[in-house]
Amino acid sequence: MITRLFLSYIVDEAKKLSHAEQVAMMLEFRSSLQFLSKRKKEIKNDALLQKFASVLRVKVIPVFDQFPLSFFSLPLGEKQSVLKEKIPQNSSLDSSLAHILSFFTAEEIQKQFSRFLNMFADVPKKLFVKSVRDIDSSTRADIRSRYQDSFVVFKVEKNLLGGMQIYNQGKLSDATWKGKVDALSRSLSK
Amino acid sequence: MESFAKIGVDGWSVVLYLINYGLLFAILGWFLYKPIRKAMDSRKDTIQKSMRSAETLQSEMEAMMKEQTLARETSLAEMQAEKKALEKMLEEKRQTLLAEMEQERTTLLQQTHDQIDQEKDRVMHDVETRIVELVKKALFSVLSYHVPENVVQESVKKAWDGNKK
Repeated sequence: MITRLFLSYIVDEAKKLSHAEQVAMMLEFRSSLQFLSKRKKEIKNDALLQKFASVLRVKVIPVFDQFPLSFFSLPLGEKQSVLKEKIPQNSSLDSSLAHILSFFTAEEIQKQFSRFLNMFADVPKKLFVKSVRDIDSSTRADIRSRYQDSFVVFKVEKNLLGGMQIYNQGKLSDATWKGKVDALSRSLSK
Repeated sequence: MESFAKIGVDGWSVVLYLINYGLLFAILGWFLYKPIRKAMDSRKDTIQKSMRSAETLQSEMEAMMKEQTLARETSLAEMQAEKKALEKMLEEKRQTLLAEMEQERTTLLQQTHDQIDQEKDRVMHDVETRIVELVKKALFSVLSYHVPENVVQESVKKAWDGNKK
């Protein structure tokens, strides 16, 4: 998935360059293409991959956040018609993104994004936000801006009853109704 | 002498009679008196011996009876003493058993009270736990099915706003 996006990004970038610049870029790209087999240290120092990571954060992830988690449960035909409206597909990157959003689940997409972006961190960071309902795109953007050094993975869990939980690097911040009911029952049991 | 002749008593007859009776007595005395006397002496001795032995026996018997009485009294005293000692020991044993029974009764009562208290605490705890579970279930049911959708949606935003602070 990430490879597909990366290739699309390279194609889009190459279209903007002159022939000589394209050749130089392809040389740089050839070493970057094997990033999945590289050691982490080398990925962090790869300028092209770093640029791609920032494109991912700035362009790709906000587009992904526009789609509620319920979108990924729709039939393929409906998904593709929604994607045609929301994503203009003017570039290879947009087409690849539309393809990914059609054929992969939100969980798979978030997992791949998280894994890739954590390769640039000194310490891999896990940050999960669980909510009783899907979070709208503006709140998601707000949350992502708050936790810029991690990739936030959003999940819906209806048994939380209300509110949300944030799990960040081993610390749980519980603002759910279920958490409050559990705390109440614990205090009554004492 | 003539007077004696008148009554027919002859002097020579008297002498003869005397000699006759004298001889008779002598012969009787020699042949009868000694043996009879001897027999009577021996019988007397025998009777005296018997009497002495009877006295001895009597005294021995009296002594034996005294001894027996003494022994009987001694045994009786010993038995009385033993009986008293036994009664005393039985009384002590009875007191000890009574004390032990009382202790056992107190312990059992205490244990029963403790068990009742524990059971009461357990039942109270079970009831409280059950009530808490029921309250929790009721809350879950209300929050899951009876809260308007917009309130649930709003809770997510409020939770984030609270977290930001």
